[in-house]
Amino acid sequence: MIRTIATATCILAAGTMAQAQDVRITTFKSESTFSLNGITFTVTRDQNTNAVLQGEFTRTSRACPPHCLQPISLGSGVETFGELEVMSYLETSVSDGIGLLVDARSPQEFAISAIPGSVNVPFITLAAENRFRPDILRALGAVDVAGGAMDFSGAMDLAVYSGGVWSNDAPMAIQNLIEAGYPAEKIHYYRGGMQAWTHVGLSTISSANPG
Amino acid sequence: MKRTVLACIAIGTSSAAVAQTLPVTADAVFTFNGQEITISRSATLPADSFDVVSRAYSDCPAPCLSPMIVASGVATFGELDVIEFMSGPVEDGDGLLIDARLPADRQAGGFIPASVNIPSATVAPENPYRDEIFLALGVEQFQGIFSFDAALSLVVFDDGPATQDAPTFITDMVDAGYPPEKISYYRGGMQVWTTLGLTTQKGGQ
Repeated sequence: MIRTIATATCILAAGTMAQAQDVRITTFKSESTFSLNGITFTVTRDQNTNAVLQGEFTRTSRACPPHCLQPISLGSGVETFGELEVMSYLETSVSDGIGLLVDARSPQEFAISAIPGSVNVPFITLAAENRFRPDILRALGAVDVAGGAMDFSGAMDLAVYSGGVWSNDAPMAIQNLIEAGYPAEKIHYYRGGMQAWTHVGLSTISSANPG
Repeated sequence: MKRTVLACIAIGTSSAAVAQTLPVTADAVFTFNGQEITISRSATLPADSFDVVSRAYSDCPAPCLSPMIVASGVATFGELDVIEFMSGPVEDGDGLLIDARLPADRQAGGFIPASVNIPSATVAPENPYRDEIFLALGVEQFQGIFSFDAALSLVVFDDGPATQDAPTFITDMVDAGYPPEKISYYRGGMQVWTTLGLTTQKGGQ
């Protein structure tokens, strides 16, 4: 039986002050600052120009299936984001309290490293079989209407990511949301995920408990 | 002024596909310039190419992160689109997969099979020989007026989301009148292609 996994606790690191910026986000932007629940996050790029990927995200060849390459567009009106669009979304929709950045991976993966400002909603909790799914949808702003349906007109914007181009956690989460009636135009897909995010040296957070 | 040469690097022999335990969805097999090319996912990344492609970043300002859409009307491609493009328009002679990096970068880290090297600087407006590149891409010229009706479809890539060779190539081409619907941007580039273990090629000229 699938149980609801508590959504999301974000832990944050205090934004570190940027120093000399040889590795910028764009020519005119060296950091992205935004707030969620009163906490300020700062995303920058690692300034070590010789840094290389370490650990999990150096892996090239996870078995397919299940880890098959995802299309650039999931279709059905869901827009695909790159890194700049994710940061812009964090600075506007998330900071304004009208959007959430959703990490669709497992809590264990989320705890190790995640995008600052993201909340963990494992894709499996959005499956139709999870009898607590309506609670999650209500937490996202859906409202019950007569006849057991839900009204999503006031629901939050969502940007969903998972491990990378090879991961179907985020596509599954999005598919489940759309099947539940969530409007596609409120959903965005950050296809690059953790692998692309770390591959360009962008900041991550860790909430892993060392104990 | 130094002449920039259109270096259409022909593809060398296709490497034999290794143990194919990790299909993309299925291996893509197509021919280009008479060579049969197979795109598959390998179990390991060649150690000698890893250093180049796994570098997490390059210096900014020149190479900064690219947006998802680099020019109006230019589609952004993922790997599956690139592979479909190779086994469709490229194989049929209607399309070219263009590596917009410098030849040295292409030599150092390898490249996507069936791609041709047209460094972004060669399509900059400052290059007095740019028209010749257009002609090679199927653009027709009559009394100084270009017609792009018969021009090839192009998919352009570079090192990845943190480099600007492909976006520069694309914006220069669109500014020159190349129809945006004939150009697509493979944003992931070598960085994503290789981190997925997809087939690459080294050498050539």
